Amino acid sequence: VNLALAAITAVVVGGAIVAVTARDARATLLGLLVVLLGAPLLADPLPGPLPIAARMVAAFLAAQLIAAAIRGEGAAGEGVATSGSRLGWPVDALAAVAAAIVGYGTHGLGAVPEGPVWAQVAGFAVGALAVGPIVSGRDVLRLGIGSMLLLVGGSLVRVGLAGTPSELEQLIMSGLVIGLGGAIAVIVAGSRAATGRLEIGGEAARSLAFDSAAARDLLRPVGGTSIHLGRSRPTGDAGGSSGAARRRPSLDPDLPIDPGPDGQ
Amino acid sequence: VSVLPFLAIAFGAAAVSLLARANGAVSSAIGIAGLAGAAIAATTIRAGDTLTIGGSQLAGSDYLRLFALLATVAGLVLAVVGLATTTHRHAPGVLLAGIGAAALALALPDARLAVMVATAGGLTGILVTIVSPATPASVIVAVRELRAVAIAGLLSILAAAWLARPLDALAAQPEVFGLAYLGFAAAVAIRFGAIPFHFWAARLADAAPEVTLPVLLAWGPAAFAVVALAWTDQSVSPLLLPLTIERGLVILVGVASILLGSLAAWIQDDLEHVVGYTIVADAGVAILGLAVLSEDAWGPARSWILVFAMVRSAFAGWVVAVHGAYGTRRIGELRGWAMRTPLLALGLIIVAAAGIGWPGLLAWDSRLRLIQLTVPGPIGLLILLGAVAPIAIYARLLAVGVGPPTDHVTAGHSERPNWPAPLPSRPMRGRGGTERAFERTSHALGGSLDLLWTVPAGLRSNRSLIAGVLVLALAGLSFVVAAGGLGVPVAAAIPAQSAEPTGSEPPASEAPSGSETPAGSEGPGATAPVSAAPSGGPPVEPSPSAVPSAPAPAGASSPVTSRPPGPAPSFQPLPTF
Repeated sequence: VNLALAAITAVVVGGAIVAVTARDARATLLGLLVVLLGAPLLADPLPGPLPIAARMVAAFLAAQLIAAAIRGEGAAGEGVATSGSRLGWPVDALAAVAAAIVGYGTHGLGAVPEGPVWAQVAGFAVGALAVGPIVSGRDVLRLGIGSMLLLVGGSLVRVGLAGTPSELEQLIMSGLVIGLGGAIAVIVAGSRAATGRLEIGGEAARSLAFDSAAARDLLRPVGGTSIHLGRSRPTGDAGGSSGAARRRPSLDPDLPIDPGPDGQ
Repeated sequence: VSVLPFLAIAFGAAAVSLLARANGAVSSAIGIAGLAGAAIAATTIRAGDTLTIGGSQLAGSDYLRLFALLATVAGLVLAVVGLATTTHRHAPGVLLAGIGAAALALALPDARLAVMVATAGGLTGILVTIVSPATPASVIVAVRELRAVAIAGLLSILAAAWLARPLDALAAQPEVFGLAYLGFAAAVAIRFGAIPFHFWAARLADAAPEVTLPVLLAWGPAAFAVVALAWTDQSVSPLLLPLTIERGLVILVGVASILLGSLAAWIQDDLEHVVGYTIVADAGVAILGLAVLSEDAWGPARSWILVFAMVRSAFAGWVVAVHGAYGTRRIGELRGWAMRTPLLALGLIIVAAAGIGWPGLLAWDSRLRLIQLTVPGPIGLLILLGAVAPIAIYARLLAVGVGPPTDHVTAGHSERPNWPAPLPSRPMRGRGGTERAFERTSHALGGSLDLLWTVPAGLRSNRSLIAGVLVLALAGLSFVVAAGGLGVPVAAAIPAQSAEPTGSEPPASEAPSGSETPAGSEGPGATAPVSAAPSGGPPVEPSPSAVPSAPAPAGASSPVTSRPPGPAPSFQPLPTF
């Protein structure tokens, strides 16, 4: 048993549990960062220093992008809160352990593996933890974190099956992590600009249920070029009357900061 | 090496365009210049040109050159046409990033890397999905898009990794290969928004700007599909596995997409929805290519992918131009459009001809071949009828276009040329020849200045005419591709080669008799073997495909057998236009 890899696996799975169960968005992000930093080390032989450095930089950059989107106050004037796990962290932890055991027992998935068993263990556990947010999440941050964990889990299983990735593959994975971080940040910032919260209500989803006609609130104004879009402030928005809407962060010029009802 | 300039321009310009998004005019200008530069760089991509970076290879090919060139030209025309109507300041940057990612995926011979790149490319669409100001509905659409891209990415990463290693001691071979194949096919179907995975794609047509739809729903997923085709051709097809159930499921998804996609496009009243569902219907034919599991499908499937992406780009360009001219996308409000914008009417007729085709055209023959290979007999003919059903949509649009104009159309911008200010007339005063020559020269200079200061306003007042000309050009290009021009069938029929084996992998086993190894290992964008026809010359029969990357499993009791040696039935390339 490679104790170092086992320890890294424990850290990665622990980070994933925190990422999907914590209610404080900053704690969620910290858990995700731990996963992203630990994942490239789960390989035997280890990648070279440059690929590892690229993955580390990508992890920090992705986390920084998401951090910019969750900066500011939440609805209760505290930090931004996610809905967290409805089942509670012990259930999620047990599910992760069960998935890890399955990963350990099926190493190679029917053929001779070329990578370490601990990569597959971590991949199965992280992937299992990602299922909940992906399937049932109305919280856009949790759903984004779930998407990230899903792909990181898949890449870990890939390492367990096919061995240490090449340097170019590590570089591409770094780009994928940054892209995912950026996508999550855009979605989170959009949700906060639209509703002041991380959760999107069922009413909006119902309006998209039948698509024989265009949804009115998805239509864009016509007759002008794109360069003028996004300069105006949002009007009459669902979250506009909430105090939480004050000083919403905006990564994107298309998502302007709402001054709130008192104009501050 | 020849791929690098294209990638550098595409990704570099995309990054600069997106970083400069605070100034929309600058961002758009950089994006459009980048698209033009990338189109030029795409013409320099050479087949067989390989470059090793970080232990993996990048490879150029004829198919990659065509794919990159056509995608960037379509993106360039769409971005310019989009300036005349509603678009998004991120649109040119997203077009560049999406096309760059698709081209990079095609340049990577190793499917494990290619699927990651294709997945990353899919994420770029989220930048334009959330409209401004953000609404809950647009956020939901973006979330669905993220979920679809992530799940498709996971499935493809696992499938590619599962079979990319020695499988000699594999415990349950058909099941493993079947699951991996099904996972990869499902990933392609999800990325295309094929039915029943269309939930996310249907609303994307609302949320994303029209100009980006072809890249988000056609070109990006098309690269994913080409990677999947290469992977199945190398890893699954040569083993002649009895994957009846798996193939049946893939065929079911393809047929459902063809029939229901066409039906959904017919009942839509919004033009963007029509574009979206016709893409879904055409993607169903491409998915059928994955179900064939034979080298016979290689050429037709890759030809069809280029044809349908190009035709749908032209159709989307037509929608953008109509929307810009009349300020509405509702078909019911567009009565009489064809009379006021005849160039767009001609463009739609050409798009219809390219998309439907007739026997002898590449579009028709490749689609027919794929359907015959998967669902032969009378049922196949019914599916073919469903595949050409969009002709009713085109007829409906044209019939609406010749009716009495609605208020929207009357108030819209026609294609009639006009100039914002009258040109001053200058009577001649000179008496002699020299005086008159001097006078004419001065009048020419003065007239140029009179024209020059009104050029911006002139472009603005003639934007429908300019958009009509551009859409007509794009429709013409799509017809050329649909007819088999530009060497599409030859480039599409060239077999892919597997990635160079790493040190831990055993050599590939049992290359089919007669197969040829090109100069360098090349990607799913295909290669240029010795047997390839010279450019512009008559197409020749391609060599049998696929040196399997996964060795044939050993064991007499195994139901898995490798492809028997000898000349395999090969795709007959269709005549070039």
